[in-house]
Amino acid sequence: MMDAGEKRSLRRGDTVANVAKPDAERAGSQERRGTTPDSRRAASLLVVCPAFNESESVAAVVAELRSAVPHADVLVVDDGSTDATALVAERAGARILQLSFNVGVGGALRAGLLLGHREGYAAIVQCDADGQHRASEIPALVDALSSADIVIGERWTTAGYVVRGPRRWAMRLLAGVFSRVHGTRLTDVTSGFRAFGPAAVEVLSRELPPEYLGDTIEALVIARAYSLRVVQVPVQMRERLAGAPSHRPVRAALYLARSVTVLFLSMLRLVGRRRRLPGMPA
Amino acid sequence: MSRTSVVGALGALLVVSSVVRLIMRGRLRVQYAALWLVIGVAVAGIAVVPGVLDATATSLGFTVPANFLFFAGLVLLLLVGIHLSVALTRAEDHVQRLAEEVALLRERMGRPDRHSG
Repeated sequence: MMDAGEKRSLRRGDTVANVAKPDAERAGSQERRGTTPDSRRAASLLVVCPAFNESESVAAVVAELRSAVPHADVLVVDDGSTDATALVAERAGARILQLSFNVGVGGALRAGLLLGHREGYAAIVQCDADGQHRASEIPALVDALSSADIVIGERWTTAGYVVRGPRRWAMRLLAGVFSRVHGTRLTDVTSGFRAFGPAAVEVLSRELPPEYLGDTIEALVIARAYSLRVVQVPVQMRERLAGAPSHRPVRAALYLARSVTVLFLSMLRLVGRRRRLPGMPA
Repeated sequence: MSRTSVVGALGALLVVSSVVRLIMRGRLRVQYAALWLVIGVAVAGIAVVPGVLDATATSLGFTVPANFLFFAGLVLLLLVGIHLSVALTRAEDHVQRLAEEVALLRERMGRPDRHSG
């Protein structure tokens, strides 16, 4: 899977600061397009936007990312869209991964992490393609990677962001469980605005389960199994540019039930032997 | 041989022959076929020599041998179902991996298509 140049030891404690730009020695070209991705010098930051039928909002999101974090590469993962999401995003200047069929946020994220891992990015930020996340908050997320492997953008400080009923209970339960599991305050574990350091990218590009809630709940369980450090940073959200979140009670109740089920089943991963990163001493 | 033995043996023969036919046509992998062949042969054995079933059932405390048969059959089918779920999970994981690899290759090739698929 990895060639010799890419094979470097990743361990708990590797940070953006001390992971030297790994592809520097085999950097052949500065061109963004026209060369094979592996041969070009990787920017240190990759922003991954999983997108499913987001042609209305994706161009604005990409444009915002490019102006707010000009040193980053923007990658839109088109998760089997039936509209022109990929074309629109490419015209806006993003790199595109096109999945042949819809695999969900977790699967799309994993594809983006895999690309980031292969090309040796020092940090990857996950950001929604619907415009609810502010690109200007990305530097704060990336900065926090200096003392963590996964940084979660926590949304509760956003004025007017209120969640009620079963969905709120589910979020509170998850917050309580994961705060205890990771030994740090985690109040918004289902946020889709996150930053991943190289150790987390290595593990999650391999193990993230491509199924419902796999990208949030199970990702944090896997992080614990590999002793990855997780922290949260407050972020301000924006009203979605297109589409609306569902607040229907039945769906919310279903969400609670599914979260609890996934939570307890995925906790089984923590039973038994501790996993090690490839570079970790035995 | 009693009439029930004949029916049982015919049923087992049907299972075994269809499994063999599926392997010959390349529509069933030997890995999964082996399981069904073992089950088919076991059913045939019980049909031809019902005494084995009676003796086993009695020694395990079943008063009606048929109940033992139903119980064993149910447990067996549940295990087969779990085995298939495991196989499906692995297959889905491979499909997902391949979708990712294809996406990465397409990215290298250049321009995206208007519609994916």
